[in-house]
Amino acid sequence: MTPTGRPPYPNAPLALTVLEIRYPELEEGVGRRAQQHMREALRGRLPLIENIKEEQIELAIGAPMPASVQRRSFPRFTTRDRTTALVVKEQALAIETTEYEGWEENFRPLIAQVVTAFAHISPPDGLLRIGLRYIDEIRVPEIMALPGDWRPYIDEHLLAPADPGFIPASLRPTTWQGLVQYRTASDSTLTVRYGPQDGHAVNPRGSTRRKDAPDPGPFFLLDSDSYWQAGDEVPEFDADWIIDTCNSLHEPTREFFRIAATDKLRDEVFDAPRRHGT
Amino acid sequence: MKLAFDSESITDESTGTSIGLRDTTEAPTRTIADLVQHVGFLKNRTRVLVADSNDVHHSADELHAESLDQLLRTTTAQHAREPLAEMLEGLSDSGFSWREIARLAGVSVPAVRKWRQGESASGENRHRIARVTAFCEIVGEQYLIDDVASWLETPFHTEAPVTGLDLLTNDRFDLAMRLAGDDGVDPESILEQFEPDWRERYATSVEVFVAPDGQPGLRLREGDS
Repeated sequence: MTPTGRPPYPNAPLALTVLEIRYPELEEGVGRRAQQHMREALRGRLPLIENIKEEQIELAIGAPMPASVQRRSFPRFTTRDRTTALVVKEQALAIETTEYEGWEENFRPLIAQVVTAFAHISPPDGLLRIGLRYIDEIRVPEIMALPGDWRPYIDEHLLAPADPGFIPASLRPTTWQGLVQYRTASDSTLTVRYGPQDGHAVNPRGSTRRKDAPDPGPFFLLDSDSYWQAGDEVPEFDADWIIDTCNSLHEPTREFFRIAATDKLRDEVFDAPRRHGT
Repeated sequence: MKLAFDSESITDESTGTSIGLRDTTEAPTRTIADLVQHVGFLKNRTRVLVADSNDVHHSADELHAESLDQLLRTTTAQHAREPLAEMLEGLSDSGFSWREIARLAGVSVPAVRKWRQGESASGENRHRIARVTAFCEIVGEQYLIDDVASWLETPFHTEAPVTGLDLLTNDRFDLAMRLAGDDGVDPESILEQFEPDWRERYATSVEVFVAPDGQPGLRLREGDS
């Protein structure tokens, strides 16, 4: 993740950024006319459109009924390099990118463009949930095997389950994962999943292209999911309100990343020249 | 983008517990791949759960049927020790006519009369009477059918004149027992199993209609006239 006000790290650990907005089901779905209008509105940022066809096969085990197949389609808008995508479905839309270029500089303006267009073209009846999620794969060249000694790179408070000063030698950590939820506002939560992992957290061969994906290997996962959820009342789908909420959701993720990563990690790993996958 | 891990990314399964442990964390913000797959998955899973539930229900039905069959055999064996005349009087007191009892036993009415007068019956016939007696006792006690004889005389489907008595006469005690069970069994499914060609056999070209004067009448069905 990139703290606001500075350019992205040359060797940033961020693998995927997602914004998901859930809303009450659109009565008419996302019709062809709405798709065309969305396409016009987003052409500058997301010029490619494809129709995703979804087939839902219903099987009844043990019942003498034939399988039924329901076909639906919905639009997927992408950048030309396919590293950023938007999908709009009946009950939710999601924007995701593997090439994050800053919150204020890039991602928030994209969100604003999408929700403003959507609110104008095919406004849902309300808002149910807004989630902003950052998935970091922190890779340190010196750590070649799990669980690895992350103490110089990750704040030691997050490493307690594997801290040799705390855990006796008879308990040898092999892998572990932490999960914590913080209340960030009366109706907002930050959920963080963290711990050493192997391979990739974000599939390098997914439909949203991951350029220069690192080789599989040990990494420290930092998966921050900051979300607002409607309570008893369902607010209107208001673009300005959504953007303000996204700003509020972004702040805790930035804060947690700041306290989790040590200066050594920033200086020696994130600011190091970009490493490419082979 | 499909994540290579899910929210529980330590992959070994947990040790099972006797109580369900609730996952206290909320479902995470979904990626596009999650979003594309989620709805279909949920609906398919619901469908599978419903199917599983039907399977369980079906298995429970089978188990129940087996239990009843066993109960029928046990009760029949108990009644078979009773004097034959006593079993016949019991059936008669339950509302069966001598003609119906003869039909159930697969013999003539005079043969039944002789049994009542003390003449002995073959082992097979004695067993038949014991089984009918046992059946009446079970459905009376288990399913609270007060007048078993009348119930057995009543057609159980409006479009066919087939009765419970017909089931017993043809040794389909299992179907009669299911019919008595009143656990949501569709009489038509009983009929399908008993007489798969019942539709053709009992088809009629005549139907009842209400005439303009409000009185019921008979007429040929459309297509047959």
